[in-house]
Amino acid sequence: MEAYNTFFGLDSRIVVWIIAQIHLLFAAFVLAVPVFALSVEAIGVKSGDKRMDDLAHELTKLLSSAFSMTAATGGILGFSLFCLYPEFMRYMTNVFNEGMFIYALCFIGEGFCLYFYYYSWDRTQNNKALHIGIGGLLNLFGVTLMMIGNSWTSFMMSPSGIDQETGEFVGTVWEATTNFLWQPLNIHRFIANIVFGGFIVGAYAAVKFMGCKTKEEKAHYDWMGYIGNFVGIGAMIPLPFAGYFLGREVYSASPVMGNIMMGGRFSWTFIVQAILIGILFLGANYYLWAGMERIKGSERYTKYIKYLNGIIVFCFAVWLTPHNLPLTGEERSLIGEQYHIISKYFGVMAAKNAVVNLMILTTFFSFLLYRRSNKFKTVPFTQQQGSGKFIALFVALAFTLFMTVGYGFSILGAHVDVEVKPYLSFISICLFIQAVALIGAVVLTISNKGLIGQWLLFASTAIMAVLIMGIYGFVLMKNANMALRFLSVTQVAMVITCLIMNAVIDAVYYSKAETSEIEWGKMHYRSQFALILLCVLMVMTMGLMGYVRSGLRENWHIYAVLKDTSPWSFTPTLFNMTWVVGLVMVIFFALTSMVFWLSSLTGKKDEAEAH
Amino acid sequence: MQKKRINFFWVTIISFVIVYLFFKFGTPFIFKGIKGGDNLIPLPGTGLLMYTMLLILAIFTYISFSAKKFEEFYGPIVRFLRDGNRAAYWIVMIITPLVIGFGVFSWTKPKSVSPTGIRIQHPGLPGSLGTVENPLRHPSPEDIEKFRGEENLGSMGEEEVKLAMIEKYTNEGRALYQANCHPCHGCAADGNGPQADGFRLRPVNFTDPGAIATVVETYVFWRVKEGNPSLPPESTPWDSAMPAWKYDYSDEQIWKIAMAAYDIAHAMPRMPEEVH
Ligand code: HEC
Repeated sequence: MEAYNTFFGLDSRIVVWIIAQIHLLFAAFVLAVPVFALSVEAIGVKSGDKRMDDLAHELTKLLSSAFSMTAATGGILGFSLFCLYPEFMRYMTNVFNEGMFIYALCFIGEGFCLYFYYYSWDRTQNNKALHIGIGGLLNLFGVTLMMIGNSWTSFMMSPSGIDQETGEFVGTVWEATTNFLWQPLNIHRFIANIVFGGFIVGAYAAVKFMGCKTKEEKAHYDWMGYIGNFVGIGAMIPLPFAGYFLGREVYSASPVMGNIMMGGRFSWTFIVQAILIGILFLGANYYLWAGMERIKGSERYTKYIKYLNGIIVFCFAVWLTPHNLPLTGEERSLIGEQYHIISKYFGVMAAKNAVVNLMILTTFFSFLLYRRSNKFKTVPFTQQQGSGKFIALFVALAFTLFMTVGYGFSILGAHVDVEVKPYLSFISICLFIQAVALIGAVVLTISNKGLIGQWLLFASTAIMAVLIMGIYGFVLMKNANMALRFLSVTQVAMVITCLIMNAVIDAVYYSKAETSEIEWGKMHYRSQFALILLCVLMVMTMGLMGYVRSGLRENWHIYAVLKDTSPWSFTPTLFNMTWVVGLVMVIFFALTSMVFWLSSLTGKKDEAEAH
Repeated sequence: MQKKRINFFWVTIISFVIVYLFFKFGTPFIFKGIKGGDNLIPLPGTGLLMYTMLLILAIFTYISFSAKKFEEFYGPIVRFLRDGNRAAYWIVMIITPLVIGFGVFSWTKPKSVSPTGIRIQHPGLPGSLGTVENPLRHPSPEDIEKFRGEENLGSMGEEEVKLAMIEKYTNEGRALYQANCHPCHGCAADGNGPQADGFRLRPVNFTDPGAIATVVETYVFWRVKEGNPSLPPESTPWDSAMPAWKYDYSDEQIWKIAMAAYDIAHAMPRMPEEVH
């Protein structure tokens, strides 16, 4: 038996690569959009807003054709793997045997739920509990499918259940499934898929928006684009953290793989990724700023936008600066040392963590400005009725205090060398100060000074999580590397507590405020192109990171267990990667347009019947 | 129309030029100020390109996010093209393509500069070393007892004996370091040894937080043992003067040197994250 075959003499690896990536994109689509639709539906039921229900329904309409796309590309992927890489697949089927059947059964389950969820929409209007229940089941199947699929890829990176002496697989399916990188990959993929779902919806709305004729339609799609973008950025905020976690775990799984990733051959892919993510953040903010135009009263805040823009671009610049800047020989000799000053300070993790947090804070700030654009006179807290406000504030406070103080103590109790201890106490003191700021913000809110409370929190977070810890990161890199991982978690914890608390304060502070109408549909087309761009960038990022994740194994099918002896086991160059990912993108968008078009056919029929 | 205020279009263009000039001619003074020394340190061409692109992106975002700003920027151009002064119109129409053409020409014309290269300072550790750890940091109980006997440490606790062992090894490594590495990497491991200025690719400054502090100890072991010949092409071994020490020293001695390098630089090796 041949270990490898070809498909009409093509490069088998590229064939599998392209098919796998397209399949993955559709799978992400059918994972994320149901999560999205279900949440929107649930919010609609809770708030009684019919618009929400319609939106959820419209999104589900996209799913049925996307689902068959996923199945079809999955089938092709399966065939191509079995045909082109028979020996590797034999190994995998031996290891995962029953797991693959469970996968297939889940797929049937998902298909059933999906179609039930979609076709029973009108019938179950009076029985929303059933409908939402089925939606929940649909998502459960979806997530399970993703996790099973992930276990295969993560097994290839960090195999488990292997006899160290012989290299034979001796474990159970469960051992193979719960391999070391499985959970980090699950978390990262799940969050990224939600971002993707948000931006796909945004792009869909943008395309529709630019094609619609009536004012009502325009308003509808404008609003839909806004929701899509909102979900996209919302989920993007924890994403850098999930990515950091995954990267760290790759490093633990194998320092060799970790080194190839961050320092070696793949380090430049992270610069490309930085470009993409930077533009994602900028684009999402751009869309928010442009959206302020639909609101009367936003003039009060537009003057701040130039500063926000400046901060984000500055962060972008730091985020982008590589540690090994390409230099000419002359430049190298003028610089007179290994690294240029900008690389030395901006090119390392400490700086990157700081600016990413600042970028997240700034994006959140943009969002708050957007939110308050249509709010005017507020009702002081003490004059508001009801206990809901207190409950919200105290739940948020309890949660954020638990995060900061709890983490602070766990750092103090960490088992580390004595020399590292003092550095850790400093970090935990910052966390305790943040806890005090959180309490202060709540107290200020209760005494009718919610805005000052928000500022206090923003200031303490920016000063500590970005400025102080950014600088402290360099100190730690030099003296106590061990403590760095605590530092980056601390930064994120601070930023997240700030986001949660400030969002709650905002909701409370403005809850009874006078508001002006938002004129949905009053948007320029440039903003719609931004929405489309966000989706395109997301697809590119997924393609790029797919290359990295898979390429890290270098010439192994299954890292350190099964060698890739085919002629295609080399690492494709960045240049080749851009071609393949570009091609994948074109095919994916062509197919997606088809999906959108197919779903618009049923829409037309519905309308025709209604008339 | 008010004539006094200069319009938004020109404000944008002028701000762009000012910031660009600052990048190009201002930053070298700042870099020199930070680093000391007497020559100006330019912002490398790639950096300049990157930041200029970002600057353009920032400007574009700013002028286009609102309809009003967009019109303020775009309006003067349209008005000028439609019914501006005819003479000025023709001057712009002729000069613009010439400037662009000249730009393209000077960008692409063959020049005598050395090519821009990416150099990867920390290429991947060879797979065979993936699971290797410094044996001296994990002595076996027999080694510990042997050391206790040799050094007459009596009933000292096991942990303390281990620390004493590490201290002894580090001291031995220090001697080897000062004898062999100091000419290039400097006696304080700051990359300023007496010979350092002689190399275009300078010996690494180990006190730099981005240097050996970001890699595991095994990595330093590998670099010291194998030197420049084993670097992969992306790390331009031909530029590097780092010798291979495996001909002169045993593995154990090299581990000691690695420990000493960290110690002298007051840095700690990167710990592989724990596998749970
Ligand atoms: C002839 C000068 C010279 C001598 C002697 C020398 N080195 Fe180097 N070393 C270099 C140069 C130049 C580099 C940078 C280029 C490179 O990475 O190969 C370097 C790089 C290194 C690196 C890589 C650091 C990093 O962050 O990538 C280590 C580790 C190192 N040297 C350790 C040593 C030790 C330990 C000794 C003494 C046993 C030593 N070197 C002796 C010139 C020298």
